Amino acid sequence: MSITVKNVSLPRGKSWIDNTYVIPVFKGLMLTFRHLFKRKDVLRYPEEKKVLPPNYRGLHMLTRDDQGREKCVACEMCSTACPADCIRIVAGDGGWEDSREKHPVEFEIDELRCIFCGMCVEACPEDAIDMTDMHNLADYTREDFIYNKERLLGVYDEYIKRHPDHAKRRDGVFKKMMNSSYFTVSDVEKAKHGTGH
Amino acid sequence: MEALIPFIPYLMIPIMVIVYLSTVPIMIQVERKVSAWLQYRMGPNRVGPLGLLQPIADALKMLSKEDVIPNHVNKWLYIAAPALMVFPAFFVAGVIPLGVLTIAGQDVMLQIGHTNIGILYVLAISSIAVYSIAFGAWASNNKYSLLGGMRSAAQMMSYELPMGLSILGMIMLTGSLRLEEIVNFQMNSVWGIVWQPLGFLIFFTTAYAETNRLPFDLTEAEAELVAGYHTEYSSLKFGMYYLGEYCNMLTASFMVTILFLGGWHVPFLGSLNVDPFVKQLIQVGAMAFKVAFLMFTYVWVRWTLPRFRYDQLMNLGWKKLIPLALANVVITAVVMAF
Amino acid sequence: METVLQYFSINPVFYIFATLAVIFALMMVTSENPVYSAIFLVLTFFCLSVIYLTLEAEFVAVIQVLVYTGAIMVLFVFVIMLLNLGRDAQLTEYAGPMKYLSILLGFAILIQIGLATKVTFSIGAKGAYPIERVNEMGNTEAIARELFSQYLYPFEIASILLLLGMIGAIVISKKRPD
Repeated sequence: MSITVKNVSLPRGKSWIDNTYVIPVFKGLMLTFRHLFKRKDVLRYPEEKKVLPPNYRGLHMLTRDDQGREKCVACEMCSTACPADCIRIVAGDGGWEDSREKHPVEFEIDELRCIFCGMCVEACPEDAIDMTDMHNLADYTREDFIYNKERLLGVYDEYIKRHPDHAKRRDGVFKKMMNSSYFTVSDVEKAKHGTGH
Repeated sequence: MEALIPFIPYLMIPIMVIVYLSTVPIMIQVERKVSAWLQYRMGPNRVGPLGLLQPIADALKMLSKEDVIPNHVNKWLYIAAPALMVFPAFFVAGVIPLGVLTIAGQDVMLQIGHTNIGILYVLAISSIAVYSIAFGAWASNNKYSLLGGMRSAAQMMSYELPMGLSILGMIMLTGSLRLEEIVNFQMNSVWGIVWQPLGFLIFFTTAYAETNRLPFDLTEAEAELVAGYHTEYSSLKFGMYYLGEYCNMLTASFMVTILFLGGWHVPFLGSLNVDPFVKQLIQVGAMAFKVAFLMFTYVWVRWTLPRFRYDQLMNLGWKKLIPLALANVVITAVVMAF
Repeated sequence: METVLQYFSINPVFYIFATLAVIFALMMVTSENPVYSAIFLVLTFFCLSVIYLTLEAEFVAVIQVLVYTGAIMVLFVFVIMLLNLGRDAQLTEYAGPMKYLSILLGFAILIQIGLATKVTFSIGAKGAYPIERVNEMGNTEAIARELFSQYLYPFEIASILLLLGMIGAIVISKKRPD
């Protein structure tokens, strides 16, 4: 294969005046000057926060049923599905006063190992593990990022206060939307008020 | 009041120091805010009301940082080089006039030294600044620093020629090297930018190159040279380079104002019916305004034009600006002769 | 008879900067690192320009800084850095027995200059531009008037010499089409 040399000439202006670059530079300066007064496309973060889509994959939580009991049955589907191997479950017999086969004695997620892929949520047969919109995780030690069962349940308690309609999230319009590949924040807002789709 | 007149030059020394030193924090704030606004950002808004105390926070950060002197540097030169940057930056302030005041019936120039070589003095002293960059770069014993230093040596030398030639036209018109004479000439006719549009353009361009500001900041060129000549510098030594750069920008703005924008001349001020002393104060304010606008332009241009490539820079300097500046001198001479 | 030394003795600034200039010049010659030599040469030039200032020759002083310090020495520094003369290329190899002879000759010249300034050097007859007139019309103007009238011919010769140097440099650096 031979190399073909292609000479690319620089784009020239319409007249010699353009080629001195004086007027083009001035035009450019005027353009940037107008941008000085444009609307600032930023959120003033701690005061304003972005509305995140309901399928946003943030910090994990262990959900509770309507009587406040943990849903998890320690089937280890999530830890099996986890590509990052960040979930550790120690199962114990019984649970809910022996009405269930198993329950998690220990349930730990290492949020530093986690890649937030959401496979655990997909794998869970009981909808016991879910992801929240909390993304601003910060702590002083690596150990603090290992969330145990109590903390993960605590995340749910905190989350449900802000999103009382969480249970609805998994069905209906939200479910449909979550399966579609693309939607915007405004779609979510519309869906919440029952106007879209 | 009359007894005060001989002391005006001495009074001007602290005033000029204050002018130069207070410009730096203001420029830090302006640079950060305007940069942000041009990119649809908010800029610093946490420290103090509207983020106005940000320069103080920046300065404190600079002061309290660890002053690292790497093992591989040439210690004496490494320490001396940043000081060498600040020295010429303040030294040039000695001849810059801020305006004229009539005290007890006598016109007093607000200037430290009345020398008849004013403009040459500014050119000469500001040409020393290159040593700071070159020696600092060499002493750092770092290949990126050295590349930056060598670029700056070549760049400053190349652009000094068109800079000197571009002001020749104005000097020929006024027949004086005194900065105050140049302003007086413009007050009696029109601004230098009307007399010498080409000279203005060339001087304005070279001013950016001499102060190492974008689009000519090849000495720093963070994309290719880490941080150029100040890669190894931290803490207050870096701060001194910073200070020197802003002081040089201020000097360049003063020179553009005095040479081409009429200095402290305000159009149509003569028809205003106010006290002459108030008029003169307005003129000093006008000078400050023009300089402030030019300082803003530095930031403005920074976010408009991309950085030159090194060969483009040299081509522009030697093949375009020097012939143009020479042509400008010849044209001015021919026009003046007839 | 007013000698040059007497004229200088009025001004303490001269003594300070003359001493500094001599010290820097000696350090320039003796330092083994070429970059140090360049720095001391720059400092020597700077001291010289201050001496010009004490002679009220402002124009020459500024041109000294502008041309020698600001341009020529920058080129020197640039070349030294470009070649990167480090410890390997120290200049000690040239210091042979000739060193002692050169020191001797240097002292001989020093004594000669000293005697000359003491005996014969005096401020000559006042020309068309005595110091009073220069101060009145301005240093730069006086030099310009002399340079472009009486000394126009040597001035032009020097200009042509510089032009030739420039053309020569371009010819040498140009790529030959072979």
